Amino acid sequence: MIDWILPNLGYGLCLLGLILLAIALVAPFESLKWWSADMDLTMPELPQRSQSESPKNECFVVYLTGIGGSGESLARREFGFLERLRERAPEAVVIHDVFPFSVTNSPLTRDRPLAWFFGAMHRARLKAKSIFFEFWIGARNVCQVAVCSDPRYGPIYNLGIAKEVYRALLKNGFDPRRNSPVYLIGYSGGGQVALGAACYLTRLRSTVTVITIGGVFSSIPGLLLAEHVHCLVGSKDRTVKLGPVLFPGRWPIAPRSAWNKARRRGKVSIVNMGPMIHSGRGDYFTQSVTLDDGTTYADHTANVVASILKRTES
Amino acid sequence: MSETWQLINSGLQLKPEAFQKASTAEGLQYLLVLFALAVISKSLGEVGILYINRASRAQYLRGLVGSLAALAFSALVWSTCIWCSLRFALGMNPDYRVVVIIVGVSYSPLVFSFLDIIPHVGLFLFKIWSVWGLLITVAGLHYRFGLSPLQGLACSGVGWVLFYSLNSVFGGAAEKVRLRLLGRDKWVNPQEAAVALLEREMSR
Repeated sequence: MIDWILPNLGYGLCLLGLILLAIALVAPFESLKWWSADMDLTMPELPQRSQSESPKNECFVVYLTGIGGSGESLARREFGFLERLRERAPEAVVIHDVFPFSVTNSPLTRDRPLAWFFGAMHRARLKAKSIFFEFWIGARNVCQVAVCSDPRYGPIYNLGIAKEVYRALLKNGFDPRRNSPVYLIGYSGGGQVALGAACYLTRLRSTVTVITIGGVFSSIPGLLLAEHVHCLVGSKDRTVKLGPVLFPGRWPIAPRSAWNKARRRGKVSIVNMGPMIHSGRGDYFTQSVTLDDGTTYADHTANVVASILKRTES
Repeated sequence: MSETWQLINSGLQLKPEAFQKASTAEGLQYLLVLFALAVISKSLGEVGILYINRASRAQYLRGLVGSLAALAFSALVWSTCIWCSLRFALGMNPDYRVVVIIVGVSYSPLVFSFLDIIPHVGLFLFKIWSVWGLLITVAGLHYRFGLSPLQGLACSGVGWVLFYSLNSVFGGAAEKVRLRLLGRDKWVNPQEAAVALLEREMSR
């Protein structure tokens, strides 16, 4: 077996490289096709003006998942986190049905040419934990994060996502005339998408605050437009360190970038989450690992996010 | 085709064979094929911009012609700029045809410019092709006119500055030609267009 694998390893790597190149080359087309087709940007209708008062401290929280998401449903640990958040902030309306890696909010497993492939990968990873099944969905979604951060395609991609977030907000009882605050929580690459959507959602009368959990993001105008950006960062999270390396706008030598301006204006807070990693056992949503004071990682993350919601409201 | 590929390959490696091959009787033919490949690749890389501009298929084809015109125009202007700096700054009497050949070979990296469409990475690739092309020009000036790398860089640099100054004096003439062929007054700024659409919807 080894005798066969070793000589063909080079071909295998070339094939993998070609497939990844193809994924990267076609990545912008979903948003570009949407942009060409939806000429008039058909927005959802506004709800009827309700006579009743909005509940006290009502706020809307939109959770955008990380690059491992297929849009089919969230992972159990993410559901657990959102449940904890609901317990701590009962006045918050928590929305999680926006898939951040599709401008039309279509999951990878439906209504697209490769739906069968992503569906098979998604089902396989539920049965057996393997990097092979995770890899393809992750690679596709990383390319969408790159689309979101690219100044050529980003404005279009972000508009599409903002529209889907707005649609989800309206569906969940948001009335743009009431000024209820909106919080966008983005995990990992979802942080980039949250900041991208904030570029447009800040045109609502409501304040828009972005919370990134292990967020990997570029220097994007959303950093300046959002009310505030809270970055929750684990000290053992190595993936989060990719953002300041990959995106030149986050380098200190770019003082006029949105990131450096937002930092100077005090719009960005970095919250140290303790020794959390990016993904897997010991990440921000883990229930089986505790901090020194006995709080589980999942509880700590929910506590920090809930305290941000309450602090901003008060 | 394989001959053209050899020309591109040796050009990319800054080898003197590239300039020798391009100077042969069939050289013009190879350079034209290289040019056509560069134009096709460049317009594939720019297909995103045309999508953003909501261009039709006919407009896309016209944009292809525009790319060809812009690339040919810039090659001629840049060659003239380099020829002028060789003639007047270094007091040489260079053959204009040889300078055109060097500039033509320097377009070799553009055969990969279809990769410019890759999100985020494409922005850096575009710069890499430009720097690579500049290095090929420097190598060509070294092999054909015996210029030192520094002299070659200065000559290409002066040519570069002259070219961009001329282009800005004429208000981005090449871009204007492309826009005219596309049937537009200006390129769509996606940020502005998106905000305008959103504001119109929000004020309904």
